Amino acid sequence: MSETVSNSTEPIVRVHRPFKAGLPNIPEYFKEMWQRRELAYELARAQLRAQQSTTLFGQLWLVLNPLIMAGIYYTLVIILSSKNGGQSSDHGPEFVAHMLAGMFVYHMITGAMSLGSASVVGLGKLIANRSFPRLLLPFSATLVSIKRFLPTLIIYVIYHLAFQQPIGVNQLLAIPALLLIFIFTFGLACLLATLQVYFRDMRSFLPFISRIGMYISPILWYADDLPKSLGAMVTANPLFGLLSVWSESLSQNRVPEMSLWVSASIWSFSMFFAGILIFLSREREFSVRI
Amino acid sequence: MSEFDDFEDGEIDETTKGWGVDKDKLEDVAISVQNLSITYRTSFDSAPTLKSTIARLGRRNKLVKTVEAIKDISFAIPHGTVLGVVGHNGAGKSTLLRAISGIMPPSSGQIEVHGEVSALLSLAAGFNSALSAPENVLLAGLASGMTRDEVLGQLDEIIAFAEIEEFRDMPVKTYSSGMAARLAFSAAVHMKPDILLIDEALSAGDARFKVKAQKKMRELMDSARTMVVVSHGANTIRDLCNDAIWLDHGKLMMHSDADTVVKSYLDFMKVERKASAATDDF
Repeated sequence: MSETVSNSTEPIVRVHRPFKAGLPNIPEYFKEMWQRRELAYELARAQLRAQQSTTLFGQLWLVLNPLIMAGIYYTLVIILSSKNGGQSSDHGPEFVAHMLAGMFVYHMITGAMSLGSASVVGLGKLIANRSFPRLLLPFSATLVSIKRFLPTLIIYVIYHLAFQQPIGVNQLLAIPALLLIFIFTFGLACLLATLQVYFRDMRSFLPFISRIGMYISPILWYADDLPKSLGAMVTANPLFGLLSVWSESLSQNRVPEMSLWVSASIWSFSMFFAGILIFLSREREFSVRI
Repeated sequence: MSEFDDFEDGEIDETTKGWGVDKDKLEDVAISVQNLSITYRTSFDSAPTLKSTIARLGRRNKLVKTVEAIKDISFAIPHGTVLGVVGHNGAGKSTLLRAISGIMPPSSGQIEVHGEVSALLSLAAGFNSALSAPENVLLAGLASGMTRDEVLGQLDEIIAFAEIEEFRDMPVKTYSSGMAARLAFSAAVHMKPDILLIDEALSAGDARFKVKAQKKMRELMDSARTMVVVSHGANTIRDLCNDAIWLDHGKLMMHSDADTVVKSYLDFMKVERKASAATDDF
């Protein structure tokens, strides 16, 4: 990893040394990442511009897309539950609030998965020509997804107020829940960015993984409704705890169980550190693999 | 015994003496490469897939190859040097430039670079085809460590030098390859680097732009900027460079003045071609 020595009179001196244990000098790396943070913001801005997400209709689509998806899945849930003898009252405004909260944030996670997986391979030319901390690329992809998620939060708030859903101090717990989701999402984006370098067809699996992920996560159903026999799903699915603490605090103004917080925190930080570690351990080879 | 027997096992030719591995003997060192070796693993496939990986596992085929691109080379150059790098394809020239620019870290040894580096390692220069010239130049500048204001301060000059004012706000994908190459060259030379690394990029644009590009290069040389130029063109190396190294299969064969290195390299190539022709006769 490069070490930089500089003072005001002498030119900057960079010393490029071998990685230790396959990893760059971590403090130097993150220092340089901080110095180049403007690159991540500009990459995110450029991507949003390229996707027309900064125009009025682009913003409208960002909101409409998950709303349409929510409408389709809500209809599906109603049809399936009526066939199984469920009550329509089980799927009233409070269920819609839970579903919207979960679906909007899940849309953000899958967006980061897709953008993150393309973040290194898609900018191969930049990687081949410039030396900068590559971790800025999945970071920028995560930023784009978060920026695209924010307008949907406004829609959620409007719905929550319009249908007089519970309001209270417990909803503040949605803030740490959302932070845990962001941390998890960044780690996942790093992991998929690395995998995409080694397996170029990885992105074609993502739609299937996203679809399955939604069905096994508490978005179209409440976490409380999960039969005890399927308890293993709680620990095996990273999103179970994360989406449960998010939805319960935001849409129901409840204090989520401690076990859910523990599960959410463990998965979030595990994915964060594992994603970064795997990315950094492979970063050296990116310029010759792309 | 041929004159090239001296170069076996990467020994440095006698003419290398004085050019120095010992950077302390050099005043105002710009680049110091010390016992540099670079090894990396890469895939046999240009675009490996999970499907092909699983299929190959079944056949027990090798999935990756280890490339020893640079093998224990050392040299140093002072500021103001224009260093040419010659060698056949796969000699390690591009890897050396990547290592100097910090893109490819060493496997062993180290590189000291005194000053800001700008690199033009491929004609596309990292451009995103969906973005306009100003957006791409800004991203390239930020990736090189410049601030937004520094890049924007140079932007008009970069666009004007590349002669693409009319297409300034159009996506780069609408540019001809010549226009994109001119923009890449212009961006690299206008980022006011202390050290400029150029890999086979002097062929940017048409004949008129080549003259303009060479003039710009000479301006940079006159302002005592350090340059490292990789080129297969013997005349380019002779004309532009006052110093040169010759790499062969990752080893440093010679480090001397440009004329001497180019002559030795060309002689070596003639010997190799004759040897190859003789082998073909059998």
